[in-house]
Amino acid sequence: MIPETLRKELSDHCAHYPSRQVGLIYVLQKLQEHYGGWLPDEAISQAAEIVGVPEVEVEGVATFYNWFFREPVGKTVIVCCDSVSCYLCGSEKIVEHLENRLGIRIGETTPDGRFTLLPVVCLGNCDRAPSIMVGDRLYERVTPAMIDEILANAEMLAEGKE
Amino acid sequence: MSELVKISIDGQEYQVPAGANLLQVCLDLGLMVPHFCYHEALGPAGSCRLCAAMVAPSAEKPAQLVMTCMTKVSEGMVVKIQDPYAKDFRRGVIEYLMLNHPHDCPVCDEGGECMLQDMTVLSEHIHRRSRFPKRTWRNQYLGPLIHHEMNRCITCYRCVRFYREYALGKDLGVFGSRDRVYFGRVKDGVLESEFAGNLVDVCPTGVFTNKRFREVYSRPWDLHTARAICVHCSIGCNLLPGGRHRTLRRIKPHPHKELNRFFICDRGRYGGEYVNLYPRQTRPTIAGTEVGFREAIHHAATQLRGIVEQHGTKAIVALGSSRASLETNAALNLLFKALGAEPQIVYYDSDEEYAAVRLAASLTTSRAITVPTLVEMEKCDFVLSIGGDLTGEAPMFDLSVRQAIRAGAAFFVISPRAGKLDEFARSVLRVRPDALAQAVEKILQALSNPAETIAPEIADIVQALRSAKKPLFLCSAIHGDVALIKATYDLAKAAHQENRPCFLAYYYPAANSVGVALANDSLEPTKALDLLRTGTAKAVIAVEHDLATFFGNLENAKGILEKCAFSMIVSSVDSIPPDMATVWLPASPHYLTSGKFVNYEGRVQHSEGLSLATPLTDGPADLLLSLIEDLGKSALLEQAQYSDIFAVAAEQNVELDELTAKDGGIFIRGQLRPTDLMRDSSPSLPKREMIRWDIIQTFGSEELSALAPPIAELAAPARIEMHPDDMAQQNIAEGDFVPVPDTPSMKLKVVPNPNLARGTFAVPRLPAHVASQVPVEVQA
Ligand code: SF4
Ligand code: SF4
Ligand code: FES
Ligand code: FES
Repeated sequence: MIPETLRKELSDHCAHYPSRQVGLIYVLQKLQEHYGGWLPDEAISQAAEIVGVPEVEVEGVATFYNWFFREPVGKTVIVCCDSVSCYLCGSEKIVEHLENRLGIRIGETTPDGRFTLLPVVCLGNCDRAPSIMVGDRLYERVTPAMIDEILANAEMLAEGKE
Repeated sequence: MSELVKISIDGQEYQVPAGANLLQVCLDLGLMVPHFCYHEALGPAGSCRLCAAMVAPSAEKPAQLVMTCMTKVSEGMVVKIQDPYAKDFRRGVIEYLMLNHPHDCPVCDEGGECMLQDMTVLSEHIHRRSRFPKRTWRNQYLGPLIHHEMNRCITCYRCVRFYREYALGKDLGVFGSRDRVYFGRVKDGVLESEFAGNLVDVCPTGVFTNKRFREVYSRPWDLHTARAICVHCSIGCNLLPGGRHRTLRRIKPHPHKELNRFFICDRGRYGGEYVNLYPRQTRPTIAGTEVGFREAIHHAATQLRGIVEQHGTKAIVALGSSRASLETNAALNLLFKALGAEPQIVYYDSDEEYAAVRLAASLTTSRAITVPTLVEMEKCDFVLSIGGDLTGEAPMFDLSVRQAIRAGAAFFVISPRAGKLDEFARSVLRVRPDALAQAVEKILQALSNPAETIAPEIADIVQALRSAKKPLFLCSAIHGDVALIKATYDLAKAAHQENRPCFLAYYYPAANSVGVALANDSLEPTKALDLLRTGTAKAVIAVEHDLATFFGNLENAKGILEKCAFSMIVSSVDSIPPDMATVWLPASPHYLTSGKFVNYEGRVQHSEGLSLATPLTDGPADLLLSLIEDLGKSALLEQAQYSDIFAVAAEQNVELDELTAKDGGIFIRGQLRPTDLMRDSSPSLPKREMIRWDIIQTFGSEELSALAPPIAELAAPARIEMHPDDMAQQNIAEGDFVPVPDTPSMKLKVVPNPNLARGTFAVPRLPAHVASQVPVEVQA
């Protein structure tokens, strides 16, 4: 369930566009915020109803973009580029190091719910490969040595938010 | 004919239509360019990148690698399909597409007709280099018709382009991105579209396969096929049934460039399975005792001859069949001749149906109206659907109207109950079944008196009709509303202008409704009933006609048959107990027998029968001809050349005053004069407060397909629908049991339907054999 005020805000937002479905991404972002960082099944049907498009359309969008999550994720999501440039510049090593530090495999969430580690396609930052993103921060020319610092930083940021 | 341009392909010169799609041009010339996402009906998408070739605008200009499906031909173009660079590129593309493919060809149901196999070989990708693990998917349950096997997907997007864009379906989508793209539903569940079965043909791999076909293993090349005509509605889609050993295994569309093109509805694709189950009693019986064919036929001949001798030439009444071929009905007519009796044949189940179908058919075959092909419908810019639900009553009309809607046609509906197409309508007129004709007349009035102010509810329609360049009217002849047939004709005639021809198509209860409407041996149902009830007629013959439906229910049928001195059933479906009749002759069903059918346009099409191993019996026409032989009237048979449409028509007493050959069929012109039929069209019925409306469901309402297990599984439950306001007014609550109007012996559960005209009880039309199995009432 979502509060009526939120439903109305989202519906009004869609009305701004010549075609309501333009508002779909915004609606999903807000719903993801509302549901604590991910989109449960009910969010998909809610978005479909608010925007006025079939559920397959919403599910298509929600699964297409890297920053929509259809499963619960940790407080901080780390995405590691695995596309060509980063791969050539050693992204595999970065992933391996992150896996060791966090004690999880790529695609998993730490048992304490702090981190989720995911692969991602090219971040458009190839000239400074390998690249990763931690939350909404982009890190470039990442080396295993940098990882510890990055993680500490991230924990600080996450706690600061709390 | 469009202008031709000269192009060169791999060093050869060709003349091809200017502006044509380069890939299609190559394919039409028999030059195989590997491709996946391009489909003739769906058009190019440019997404699979497989159809690459080197193309230069002229010999002097440098060549570039282009996607042929995204390129239009132009004068002087130089195309190199076999260029080493292009070949290498294509080999690379297919290698990528095959990265995650499971290579499970030996157990894949697409095997033997797999486009992926063909294209892989054609592109010369023969060695797999990838050592990485393949990604795998969980498959979904998509209902009883289609099997899902996602691992085989090569992401060509054809399925969603057909389902969402072409058929305007809502519940199949594409999810994910990069190398994890999934095609399916949000959740497991039955696919909603009545055209979902086409995914089987559209998908070039084994992701979507025919669930019924895969039940019993068979490779397509082991199938016997025949070119058949669908028997489940009046459109006459062309089909390619495939059978093996004793059974029909599957049905595919046979492309027809004016009718069904590449697609068919799921009733046509899956409805034919009834032929594997019926007739259940495969030996003839005399009074319930099994006998040989010769004995049964001889017995029938002797009895019938005796009856004519004793009681005169009017002692026999026969039920012909609007779902049987011209040949079958002609043979029945011939049987009367052989007996020296007067043909008294009834083809319809009610006088209303008799009047409505005959008027519509006469307007069609006398060319009083211009009837469009399915493809012509797609190009109309104004579509008015009148008095029926296209999805259930003429499924492929629905798909064609969807194409017109996609191209921007103004679509309107006048009907008592909401149908699936309503959501695309600019406006919907929801009127009671007995007010349909009036609603159409109102539009006609407004159209012909521009000065008058138009009633607001029809203003949209009139305005759109005035400005339309190609208007189309689609009108149901299934509900027996002769006034509506006439009103729609008047409207189409008024809208018809010299520079703006108007299309009108009626659609009918059965595959050969138009064919039998032309017969002038036709008796009105009540007249036939009277002859039988009063005992004037002593014998009844039913050929491919369900007696329980004709007499209302099984008990009535039993009563009448018992009264007759002799009765005979010739049928491919023993939906009523064979021992009810004196003689039961099991006939082999449609798809296993051949014959001609006249579709909604008046197009005569021949349906070939599959020749399967040791047929158990003959087709109904042949059984009747054996009877004629037994009567010693073989001479009559020689007159009748049953492969010849002229002879068939002559036997049917249809004086053909014109026959025209057009692409893909012969068009028939009947001698039935619409004006004669209009004169004696029945007077309007007395007004009743509540009136019944038959819901014709895509699945479950048509007699034959309803017997096929997958169709029966999809049929909606029997129910009686009412408008919530009517329910409140009459103190009826949801779930109450209410007697079915006109069939008071039957009580059904009430379901509210706000999208139903007030004053209407809507009840699904169920074939008698299905209706008899509906739990009538739950005793408290
Ligand atoms: S499921 Fe079939 S049609 Fe759909 S994208 Fe995959 S291969 Fe193409
Ligand atoms: S539209 Fe009619 S003729 Fe065509 S496949 Fe469906 S049932 Fe058969
Ligand atoms: S390949 Fe990693 S950012 Fe582009
Ligand atoms: S067929 Fe041309 S890109 Fe797929």
